[in-house]
Amino acid sequence: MAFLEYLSSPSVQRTILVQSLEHIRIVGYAMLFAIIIGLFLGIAAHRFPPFRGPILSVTSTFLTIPSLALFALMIPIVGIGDRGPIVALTLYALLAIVRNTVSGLFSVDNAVVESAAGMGMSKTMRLWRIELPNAWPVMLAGIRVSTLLTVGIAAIAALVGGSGLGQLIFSGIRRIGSPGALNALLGGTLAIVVLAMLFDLLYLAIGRLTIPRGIRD
Amino acid sequence: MTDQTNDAKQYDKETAIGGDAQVGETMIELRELTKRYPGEETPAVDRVSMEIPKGEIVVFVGPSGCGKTTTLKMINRIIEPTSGSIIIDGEDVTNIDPNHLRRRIGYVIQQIGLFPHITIEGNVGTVPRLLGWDKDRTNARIDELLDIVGLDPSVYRSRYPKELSGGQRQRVGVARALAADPPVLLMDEPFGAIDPITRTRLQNEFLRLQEELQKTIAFVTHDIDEAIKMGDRIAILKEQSHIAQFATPEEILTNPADEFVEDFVGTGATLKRLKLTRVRDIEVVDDALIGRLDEPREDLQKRLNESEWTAMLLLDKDNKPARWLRAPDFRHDRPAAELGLPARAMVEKQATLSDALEEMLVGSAGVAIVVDGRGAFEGILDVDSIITSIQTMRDADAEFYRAAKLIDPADEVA
Amino acid sequence: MSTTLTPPEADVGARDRAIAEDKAADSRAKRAKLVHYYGMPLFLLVVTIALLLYIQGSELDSIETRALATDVQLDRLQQHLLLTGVSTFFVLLLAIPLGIAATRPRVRRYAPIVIGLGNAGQAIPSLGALALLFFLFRTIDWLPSTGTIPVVVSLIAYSFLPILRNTMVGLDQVDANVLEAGRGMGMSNRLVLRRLELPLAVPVILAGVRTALVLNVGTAALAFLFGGGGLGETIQAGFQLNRRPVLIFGAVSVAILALLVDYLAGLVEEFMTPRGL
Repeated sequence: MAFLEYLSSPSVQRTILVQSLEHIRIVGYAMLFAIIIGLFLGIAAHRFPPFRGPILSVTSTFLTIPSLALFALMIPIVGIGDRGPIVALTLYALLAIVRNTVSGLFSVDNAVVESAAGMGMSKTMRLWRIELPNAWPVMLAGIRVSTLLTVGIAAIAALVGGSGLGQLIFSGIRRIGSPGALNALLGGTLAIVVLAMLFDLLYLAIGRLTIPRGIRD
Repeated sequence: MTDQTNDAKQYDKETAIGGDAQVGETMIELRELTKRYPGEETPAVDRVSMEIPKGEIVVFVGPSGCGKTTTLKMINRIIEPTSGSIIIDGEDVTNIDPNHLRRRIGYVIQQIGLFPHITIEGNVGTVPRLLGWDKDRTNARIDELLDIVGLDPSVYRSRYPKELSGGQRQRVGVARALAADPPVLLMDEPFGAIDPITRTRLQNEFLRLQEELQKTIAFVTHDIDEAIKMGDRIAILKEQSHIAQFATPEEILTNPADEFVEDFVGTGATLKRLKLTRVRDIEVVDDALIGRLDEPREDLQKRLNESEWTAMLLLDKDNKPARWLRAPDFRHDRPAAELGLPARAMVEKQATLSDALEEMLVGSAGVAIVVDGRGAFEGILDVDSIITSIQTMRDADAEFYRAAKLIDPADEVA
Repeated sequence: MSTTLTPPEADVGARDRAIAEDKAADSRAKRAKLVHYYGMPLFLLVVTIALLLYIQGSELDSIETRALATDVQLDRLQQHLLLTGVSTFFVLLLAIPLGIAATRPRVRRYAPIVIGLGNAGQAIPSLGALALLFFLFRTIDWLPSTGTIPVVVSLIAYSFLPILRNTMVGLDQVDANVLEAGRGMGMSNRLVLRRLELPLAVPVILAGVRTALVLNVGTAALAFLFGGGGLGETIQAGFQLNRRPVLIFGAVSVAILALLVDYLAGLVEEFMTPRGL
């Protein structure tokens, strides 16, 4: 009950709203970059087998580096603020996008691609008109997984001077042992969970709108 | 965009030239066509030369791995030849832009390869759009093609491939290949992935279509029966695509060039010849006793009793065969539409005698009903006429072999 | 190889490339193996040397010198390893038997619920989850409210659900046909588990060990927030004191540690997986 009271305070609501928007902004930029780079890397990994191994192992190595370390490493490179977290989250988001782009492209029936070639579509046309649309459901699933991951990790940004809902959690951590800590912890954590759910809904809608009926299951 | 309109112009010009050409001239010529894969000692296809006459179906048939598919796929350069040249309609296309080449050649493969994310209309309209046709022309063409292959455009245009049966997908595949009215069609086991019953029907439909369209078709199959049925000419290929025999089906059956061809054609040459002869080639009974579903039953009974026929065929208002009636059937007090037996065993004129015989054996009346493309009655075919035609064939063969023996040098020595 | 005539008829002119690739594949496989075994340690060695040279080459002020003192750093490394090791040991001890129990036929129908919870749990941010768990464990009377213990317990609780989920998913994937064949030969449920499922599940368990280690080595970097020490402390110090060398040293050493642990666990996974799987 104390938590509901806490949530009903206008200043708390304002904080959560502002920090949520900051959080969305960080995740949004990171995903935008990750999608562009991941798409490019995924297509390259599919098309040129010698690159496949290196691309996949480098992107999965990023994911092994603990978030606090990677966020901190960004400070000397791009400075304090949200830029570091955005770059770091982009790197984290790459693996799922690249992997799903590659497996999506591999899942396209060879006969479909061959008949497209037989009808006189150039390589580029085949990629954009046939291969990518058919790989899209798998790619979108990868983008979704990446987004959920980055929404959670973005909380770490607060530890290195970034914005977002991590700040609320961090303020709770600093106050552990004194009253009000739990409210801040719960408030920040739940807001992030809600954000994750909203992103999930967004992707559900995007899937609905962009996956043609012929390849929906 | 400008690129595409140029394609369209170029394409129209080329087909126009093709249109003027005389029947009997060569449409596709392969000269010393060779495919050698790096790292392999022997070429997969070794110096194939062949001329495919305009308007004919030429079937490449041979054991698996003989290079027939590779040869076919070199014609539209899905597989690039290592050496040799391809001449289509007098133009050397060996080195032109393959994408432009392929837009002038229809292509049907075994797995069909319909684009799953695009509707049927989008699939069929692919090449016209690539060629830069305007919307109205493309739309009209899509409707026309779906009609031609027997799919109602109003029903199927907006469906997706997964919403069709295997046979329907195959029809769409053919429609898509025909979309820009290409003079040449390449078909790689186009009926290979379809159940046998549907396959026979689709083969017959395709032959009927070809009678109207007169395309030049290169067709790959591993099934000698299909080759005999579909081909105007058959190229029997050995390994590396060496041509063992290139001749009409009749000649291959009656006069195989060598042991390889003989083995490949296999036994039962007479039965195979049943696949060569079509219903339209033999006489059908067209004065059979016919009644109409809506006639009074007394009239029907009277006519049947007065005739020398033992059964009467009832047609519905569209002239489609409906029921078989025999005299005892009139004992039952039922409307004509429920008397007797349902009319089955229907064949079209393009069907082979083998198809007709099969239908007869399955149907109950011991005869096959010949119908046209819309299913309207044309005549009746009985077992006797098939047996007669088998005998004629056998006699002709005997004649041929006797004649061949006379000039056989081995015999002369003996 | 040289006389096979069957062409890969389904592929779009990729045949040429495929064969060239085949030829290159042998040498590439050898190279890949070298990279696979030696690439990462070599890379880590280079990074470590570069880091040490960088620190050596920087003119450190008194604060930096104190923060980067060797004994301080070794102490934190030791804490970090202890946090990681202990929490991994306990989480495996709890999650794997429970995962096996939860996939037994009798309770199997509840498995999707647990797996679903595990999936949903992934949406909870690590920072928030860890903080809430720590907060919770502090309120338990018989646990000390400060020091390493509540931090370790939080780490265990945090990684419990993912490891449980992975174990269950992995066991679920053990080929149902094999199990049915086993039952068909008259093996009891317990025998099927011991002779077939557990051996087949070894890779799953080993993957669990690796996942748990990597997860915990990362979360242990946040232990400093709750007074648990570890290398995260160095990062924190570097950030708060605004001392670049300290920040870089902390961040790079945490990254090296995580990559090394992942690499070693990967090797163990590879060598302990039964042949044929």
